[in-house]
Amino acid sequence: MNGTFLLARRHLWHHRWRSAVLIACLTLTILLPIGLRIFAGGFESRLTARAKSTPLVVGAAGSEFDLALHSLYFRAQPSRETTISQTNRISNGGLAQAIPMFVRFKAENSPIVGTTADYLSFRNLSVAKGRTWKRIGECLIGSNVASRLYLEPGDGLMTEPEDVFDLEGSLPLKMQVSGVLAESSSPDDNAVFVDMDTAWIIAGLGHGHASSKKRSDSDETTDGAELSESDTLAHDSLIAEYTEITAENASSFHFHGDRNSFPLTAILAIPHNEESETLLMGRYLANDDPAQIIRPVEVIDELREIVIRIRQFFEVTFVAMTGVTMALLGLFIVLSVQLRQRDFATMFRIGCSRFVVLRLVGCELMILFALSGLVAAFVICGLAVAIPSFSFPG
Amino acid sequence: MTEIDDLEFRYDHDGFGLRVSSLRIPSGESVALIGPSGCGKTTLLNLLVGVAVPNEGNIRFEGRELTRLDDAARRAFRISTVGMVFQEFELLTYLNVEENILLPFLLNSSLRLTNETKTNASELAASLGLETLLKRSIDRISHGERQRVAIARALITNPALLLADEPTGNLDPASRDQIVDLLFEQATIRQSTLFMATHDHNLTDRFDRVIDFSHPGESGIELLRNEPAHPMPDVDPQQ
Repeated sequence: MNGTFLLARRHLWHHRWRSAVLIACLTLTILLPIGLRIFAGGFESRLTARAKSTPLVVGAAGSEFDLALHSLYFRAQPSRETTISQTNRISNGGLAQAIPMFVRFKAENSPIVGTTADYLSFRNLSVAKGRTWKRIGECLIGSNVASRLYLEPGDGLMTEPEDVFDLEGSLPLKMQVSGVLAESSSPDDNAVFVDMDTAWIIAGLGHGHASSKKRSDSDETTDGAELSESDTLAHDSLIAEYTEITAENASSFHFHGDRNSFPLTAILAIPHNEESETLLMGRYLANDDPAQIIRPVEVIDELREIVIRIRQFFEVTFVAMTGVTMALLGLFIVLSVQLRQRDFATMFRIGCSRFVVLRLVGCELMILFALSGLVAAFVICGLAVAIPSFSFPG
Repeated sequence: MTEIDDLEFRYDHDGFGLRVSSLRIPSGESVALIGPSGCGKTTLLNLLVGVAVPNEGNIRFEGRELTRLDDAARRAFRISTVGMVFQEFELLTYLNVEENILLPFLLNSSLRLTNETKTNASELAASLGLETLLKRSIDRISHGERQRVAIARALITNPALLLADEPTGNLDPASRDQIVDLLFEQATIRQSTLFMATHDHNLTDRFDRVIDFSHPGESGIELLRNEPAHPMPDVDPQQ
């Protein structure tokens, strides 16, 4: 067997480019269906796990999918927003705990989640470095945000304007990082958390005796030009570039208008028991209700079914592709054996049996399949490490 | 002793064949099979090693009846007793010189490839002037060197029967003489019986016996079709 293995190895190496092409074809044939199954399976289980841990979500009437993806993964933006009054509607009934969420803005490509400290307890998020926010203008950042942007407690983090062409819009807010959350292997690792007031200030609903600052190259703000001391903020469009809330000016920030009408994009509702859940669901049955309530797990299950159907389609395609590859491999083997008839005739003349010829071809195939499997395994592991977002719905 | 009695062989596809009434070759003798292409020289060599099976008659080598052996036993006979050298060398181009010499050991589990075998191969290669080429690819050595490698492969099992099918057909005159010298020298050292098919009448003086297929009656060999329509085909390994 060692001799046969040596002959097979030598033959494959002698025709190394041909062997490489065969290995590439076999690797793809192995990699695609197995890779799809592994990643789709992981994606589905993580997708479902997050949904299962979130009993109910309330939001503005509209797409259930958008609301579920938005509240669970901070991904889709609901076409309409609800108001803070909906939290009272949930909590006042004594049926559930309401956790507001306002996710409209981003900081360095990470979603800014305006919420309360209850969200952190509900998702079992703990602070790894620093502390939670104590005043407006402070933020807690997810572990991935911290590592991606090299941020530590005490550093600044600038919000992104909602629309860069909206010159009359509110200025970006420079937030101060109060702490870094421990890794949770969830979308929370990629988010920036602020309290509700800070989120509304970013949205331009609140203002104060703040200084608008000029952003310098080094982002130093302490000696920035103070533009206004009046109640309403005045901006010099040539100089003012962002707002910063400091310990000194924090108390001057205030909101105008009815707070009950302030926007939220979603509310997590955690019912006290099954009965409360049923009763709460019943309160949102009216067709003309401006709000809707969803069970994320049901919505995500629907999404999963779509994913499964797409996966099944790909699997059928892969089966066909595997069949074609195997047919081509068979053709290749037949042609290769024909080309090597002279070699085999020599082997036969010096006393080798037909079984040895079969063993030799089988050994070559075994090496090709083993190498292809190895390459496929490496690629799958490499993808899982290099592209974590591929395996994680965050 | 190699003995042939009342042997008759015919190819199925064209009816060509040969008949040998009686032939006795003592062990250690050298025999030249001469004659034009397609006259049956290779067929007789194939019959002698059991690659082709006669329709009638007997072939015995050292008292062993080859015609009664089954496929496996004939293969075992070839492995243990026969060394073959071919006109086209028939070396595996994807192996180096040393691996080609050791090919019988690589292919047959009945032969154990030991360090002693490798040492023997090195010594054999040295005796054939191949000692510096052992790790070289077959593509990178000359025709004369390739034929030496083929001879080394044939000799590595110390065969009692050495068959050479036009071994000098592809060589220049200088290489041809060297190869013939080597074959005689090695056959003498091993006391092997040497059968060599050749076109070259100049070589016949060196052999103990000459079987001339151009004059079949004199040699005890009768061609069953004197002028074949086309050259003899290669032996089908599926037989």
